[in-house]
Amino acid sequence: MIKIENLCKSFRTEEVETIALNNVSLEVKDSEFVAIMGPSGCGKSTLLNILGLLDNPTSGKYWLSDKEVGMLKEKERTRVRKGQIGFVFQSFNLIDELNVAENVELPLTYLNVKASERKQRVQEILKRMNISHRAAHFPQQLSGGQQQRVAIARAVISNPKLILADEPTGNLDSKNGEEVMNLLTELNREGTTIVMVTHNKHDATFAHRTINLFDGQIVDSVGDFI
Amino acid sequence: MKIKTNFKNAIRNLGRHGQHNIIKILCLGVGLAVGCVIIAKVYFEQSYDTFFPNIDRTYLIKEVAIQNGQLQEYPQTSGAIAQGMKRYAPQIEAATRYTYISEKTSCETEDKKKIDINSIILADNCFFDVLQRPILMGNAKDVLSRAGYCMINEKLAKKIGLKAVGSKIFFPQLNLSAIVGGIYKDIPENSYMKNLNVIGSLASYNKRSTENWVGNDRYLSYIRLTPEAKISDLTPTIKKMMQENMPLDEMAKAGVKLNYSFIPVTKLHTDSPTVKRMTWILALLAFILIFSAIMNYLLIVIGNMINRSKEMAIHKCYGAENRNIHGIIFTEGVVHLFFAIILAGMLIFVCKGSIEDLLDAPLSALLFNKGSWIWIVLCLLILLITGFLPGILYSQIPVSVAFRGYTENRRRWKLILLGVQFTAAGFLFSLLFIISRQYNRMVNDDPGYQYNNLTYIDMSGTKSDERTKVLTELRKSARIENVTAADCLPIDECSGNNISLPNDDRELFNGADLYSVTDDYLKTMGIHLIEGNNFAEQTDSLREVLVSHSFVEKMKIVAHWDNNIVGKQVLISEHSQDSNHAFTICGVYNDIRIGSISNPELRPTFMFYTKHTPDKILIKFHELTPEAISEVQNTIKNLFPDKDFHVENYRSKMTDLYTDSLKFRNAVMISGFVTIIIALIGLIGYSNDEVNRRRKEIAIRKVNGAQATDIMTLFMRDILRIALPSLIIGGTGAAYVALKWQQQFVEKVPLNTFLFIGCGIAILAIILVTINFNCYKIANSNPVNYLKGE
Repeated sequence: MIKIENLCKSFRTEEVETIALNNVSLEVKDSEFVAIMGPSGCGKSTLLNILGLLDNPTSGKYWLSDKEVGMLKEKERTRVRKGQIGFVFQSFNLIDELNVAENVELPLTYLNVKASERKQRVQEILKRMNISHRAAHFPQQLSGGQQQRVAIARAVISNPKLILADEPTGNLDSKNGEEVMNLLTELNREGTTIVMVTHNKHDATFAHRTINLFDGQIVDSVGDFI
Repeated sequence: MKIKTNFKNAIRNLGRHGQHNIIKILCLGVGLAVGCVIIAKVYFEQSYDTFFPNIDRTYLIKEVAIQNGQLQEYPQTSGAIAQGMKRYAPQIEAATRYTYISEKTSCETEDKKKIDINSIILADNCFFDVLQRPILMGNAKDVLSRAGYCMINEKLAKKIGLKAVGSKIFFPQLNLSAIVGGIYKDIPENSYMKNLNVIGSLASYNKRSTENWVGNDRYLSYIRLTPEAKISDLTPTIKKMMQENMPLDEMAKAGVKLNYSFIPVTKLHTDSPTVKRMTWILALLAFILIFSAIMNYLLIVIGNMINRSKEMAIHKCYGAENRNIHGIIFTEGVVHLFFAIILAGMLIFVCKGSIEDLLDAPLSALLFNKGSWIWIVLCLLILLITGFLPGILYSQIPVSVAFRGYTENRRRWKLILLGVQFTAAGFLFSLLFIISRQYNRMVNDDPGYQYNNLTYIDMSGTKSDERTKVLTELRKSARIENVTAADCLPIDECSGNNISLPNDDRELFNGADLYSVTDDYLKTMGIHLIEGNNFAEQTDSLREVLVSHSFVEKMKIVAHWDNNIVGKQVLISEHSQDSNHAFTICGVYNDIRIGSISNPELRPTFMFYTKHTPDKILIKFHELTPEAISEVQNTIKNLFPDKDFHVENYRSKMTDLYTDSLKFRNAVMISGFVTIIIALIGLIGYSNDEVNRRRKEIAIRKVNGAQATDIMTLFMRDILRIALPSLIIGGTGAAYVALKWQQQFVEKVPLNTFLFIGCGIAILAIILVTINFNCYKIANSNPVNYLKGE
């Protein structure tokens, strides 16, 4: 699913160059659930952004589903990303101006799915996430757990092969966090590849493999995908 | 599919907190309303008389006279010129002439209905051949060939009633009557002839007056060329016409050389210096207003980028391409513009009366004409800027940057946009100040006579002995200081007559003739004699003339007179049939202003005495009160129970001379006010965004000992850096425009640097008060609140 080789990412200001990722090589197989851990500033989110085609590496190679995508332009990255990758964020990143159903529907809109089919798929996913009764509500009217379930619903509605989750339980209490992790595990069991950045060791136990990053480098990888 | 969703979201987000959409729409709507009305006015002025068919081939004949080396142009000619040219030049397809008879008068119908009349002319039977209007009833050519007949416009016909054609209308003030022979379609508002109600037949006049080649140049003469002809083709034929019909040798002896020039009718209005000046200043105002509104829109959009960049990043995360982002922003632009147009329409509708009064034209004529395409182009232009530019800015923000927290300030952009608005505000404020001062100067300037407590009654249509009776009656009133009568009022335009010396063929110059006055004129008007004596009153057999100071100065130059003026004799055309009818100068008075400061009569003036009471009765009160006016009004009513004379306040009429300047001042005032409000809204938006963007920095500064004043100084310094140069540019622009605008006035308020500095300081004070008011809260807040999220 994912293969990266000698990936580097540095941020440059006028005087200082900060290396966020330093020669990172990694492979994630189809239907694998990988957790990425490490201290703040070690490059986890940067790696996730590159994996999600939200950013380009400074150097190195990146293959997504056997296609090299490391140095694509913004326009091409958007096309590859569309329908293939779902995102779950720590701060949910729901659009305040849209209600729950519209937030969930968003990826389908950009995939030009017909309105009737969109409606049906939104209803199905909301039902599955147990939030269909909140379809007409706006994000501010939901609890954190509900908001994250909406975010997951939005991430999976286009049936992406890959879900990238950036500390998905970071803003949730333990009960809601557990629910979110169970949902992700369930999606993984159904065949979706998941790469999750987390600080939480308990959440990492849900993954098949945990990769530890430190100062922009992979220091170890624990566990195996069976 | 997405378009529908975009529209739904754009409408739903209108009132969304933080996006300032309502403010954006308000600014755009108000800017659009005022800007578009001004643009409509500019187009309206530029389209004067263009509705006449074949107007591109139609010309007004101008008389060009060189008298003693001085070139003078008159828009009127003698009666024979237009038709004479047509006879001589085959290149002329049609020709006509007409003369104004009266303005602002009234008529009575056969059933004694009294109707106000704006304007009456007498025209020859070719009038509608040249200035074509649809004829609704009657045969215009036939009607205008018959003495005592007239054509009336549609509006007047409706007032007269069903049987207008064939009925007789009477003009009491002119003591004239005419039979209505036909009806023509109203002349549109964008024409000098817009108020023309009655076109009488020139056949009513005697031929000596209508077909003379020289003198009595009271006719506005028009010609229309054949399609293939050029105006320059007429030169030889005109020369021939003049040689065969005019006493050119005699005129040359008198020092006069006459010729004719031709002005395209479409240029008559647009080429007038006043219209030119007004047009470009108004166009500039409209541009500034609309530009400020658009800049403000962009300023708010750029300010919102910090808040909205994440929303756009989420869209991008889930598959939105740049075109989708453009679509979202463009749809918002369309929705905002739509509501702004509705708001503008409502504002224009609500302020219809004020707009019509201010721009001196009906709203329908201003807005719905061939120039309506300008509105559409303008709206499309606004949509292009407000719909596309923000989309480009949003699509440029990288998704990863947006998620990390987009704080790129784009401050330089915001400050530039703000600077543009400050420049506009400074420009309009300074210009407004100068225009107001100039206006005050005009209405309060000393015209060389005293018009405090002065009133007058126009008693045209009455007999001299009746008016003498009025004077006698009014003199009995204890409220009245003085009463007199004159042919002309100094606020009116004056006819001219040529001055020459006995036993000298030369005509020296053309003076402005005040014609006759009666007893106590100088005293009533407060005009000072600087030499000689007043008329020996109660008799006009002495053939005396009073002349102005500039008359004397002119005679010193052209006739080499010495300082002993009193007792010298002059001939004045129209009054002196031959050299035996010379007039003796009995006194010299201080120059008085004839007309207005904006359109002054520069010719020397002179006046005669008459024992026959002229028709303008001038009344000087001890104190001008409603009771005093009412008493006079009653006296007049008792003497003329059937007539409707009004006591007019001279000061009001004097102020009316400057109505155009007042309207212009008001237009600038409204534009300036709106621009300043828009700029202040932009400033508030900018400072809010800056406060939002720099809240962490402010908190850290406070934690490290900065006081509220230090924080406010931080913001003020930023603003001052852009406000000062902007206001200097605005003030310089205002000085340039004011100088151009003042060219039309003979007396100008001085434009000194301190005036502009004062205006700049005033605007700066408003800016600083606004920024302080806006930053006060954060400057005095607990820094912990802003560090919580860190």
